[in-house]
Amino acid sequence: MSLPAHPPKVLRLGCSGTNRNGQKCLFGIPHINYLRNFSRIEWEPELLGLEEIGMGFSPTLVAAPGWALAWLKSVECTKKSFWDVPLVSRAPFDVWSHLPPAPAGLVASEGFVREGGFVNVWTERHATHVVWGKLREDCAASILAFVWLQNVLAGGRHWRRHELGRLPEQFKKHLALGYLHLGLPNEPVEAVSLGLPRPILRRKDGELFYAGDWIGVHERTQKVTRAQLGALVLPELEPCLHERLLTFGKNEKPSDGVVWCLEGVGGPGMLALYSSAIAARVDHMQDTWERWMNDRLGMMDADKRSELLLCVREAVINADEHGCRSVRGHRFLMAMQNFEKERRVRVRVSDPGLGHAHDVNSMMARQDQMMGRHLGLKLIHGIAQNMSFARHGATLQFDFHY
Amino acid sequence: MITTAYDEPQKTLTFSLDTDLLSSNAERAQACFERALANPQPFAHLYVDLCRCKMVDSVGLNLLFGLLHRAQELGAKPTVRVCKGALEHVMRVARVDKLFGVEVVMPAVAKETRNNP
Repeated sequence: MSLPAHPPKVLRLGCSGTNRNGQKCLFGIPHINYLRNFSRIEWEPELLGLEEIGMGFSPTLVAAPGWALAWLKSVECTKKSFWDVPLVSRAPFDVWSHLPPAPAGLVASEGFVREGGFVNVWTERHATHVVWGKLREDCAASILAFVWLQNVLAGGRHWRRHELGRLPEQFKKHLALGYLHLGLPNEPVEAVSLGLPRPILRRKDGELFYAGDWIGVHERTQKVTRAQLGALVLPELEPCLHERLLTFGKNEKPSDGVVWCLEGVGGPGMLALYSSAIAARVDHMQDTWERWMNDRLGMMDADKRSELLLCVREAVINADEHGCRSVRGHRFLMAMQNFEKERRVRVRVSDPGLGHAHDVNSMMARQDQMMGRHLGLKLIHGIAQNMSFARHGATLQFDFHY
Repeated sequence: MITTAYDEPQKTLTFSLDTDLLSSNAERAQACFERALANPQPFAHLYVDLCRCKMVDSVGLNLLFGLLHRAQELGAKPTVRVCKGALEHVMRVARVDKLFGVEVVMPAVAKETRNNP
């Protein structure tokens, strides 16, 4: 004789106090222990200021703690009816039973996952995107934000682009994220911190440390070896290549930031992630760039190298002063790549700022330069080629022909 | 960091820098210039000799602009002396040659001048 099946206990969380069928529901986010009493939870993402909901079936989550997966199987995002069709949006619960394998070379450490860390990876048109963050097991809002994010990321290209670009502050408060976009060698490299207070890697006593709980309050660090470094932060630059492309080069020890010297990606490259407030360290950073240029840009004459070095310095100082406001707690990215066949070096500097609408050719810009303002941009514009802005000016790119 | 020379018959004041003029040392350089210009001998020409510099960044250029403007205000003719090459290009891009004066010397000549001032 089989036992009578109990109807699933469903909790509905909404904004208005009534659900889509006009039935009463909770209109706030209760304590996590209350949520645990229900076998299914329906909630309107609007509660966290999220308007859209993703629909899709292709999870991009490659690492997450087991308890987070359990929540993914019991929480669904709902929205008020649209043309009288109730919208329930989520990847089917069963897709969260088996996560897709992480790309070769990407390993999330056990400690990171155990403490609530998760990693999403997906590729679009040969570009690799990585999102990582850390969930708080005891925070219902953090878990709901995570469920929403996973459904959006499973929802395909349109949703990902649309949603990730405009996460509300409320979301970032509950679920801070790191995002890295790596394209092909001649495509942009972007890193964005969404509500992140600290860089994921930091230097201490001459060694690199992975700040395992960098989203939380307490900071416990774990030493990172060279082999782990790329695995923690970067996936393969080009999924079609099988070899690891990220190395530190021969005996290179950058004096600041996290610097990867890339080989075999269409020409040597350098990818450097720096913590903000660099005024006192910029000369040491410049030494690292100069060594890299001397080793890899032998074809470039000394004067050109000196000019390139000046442009990189100006771009980096600009990112620090304007994008990070010269205060601690931000980070910015500098990528430099040599295209030997074309005798061209491309430099790209991305900061987390809001950007600007500066036009170096405008009358106002010329007046500013007479007063000594925006002189750095003027120098880059005059010395380098193809200077351009992306992300509303928060990313600066230029080429250097030699 | 900065050597000051005064040629009385020619009424020429020369500042020679032996390091790069960068954001990291601009304050120190500014202090040196201030000291040198606190009670200057009367001068009709000001030379800022950057032949030993390899790099001048935007902060350094701002400092240079300030110094050259000040010399103009004092009734002197300011000129920047650089070696042919990267720095000459930077001066041109920053329009120092248009606004003030830039004297370009060959590196060998600059070396000789340093040895036999």
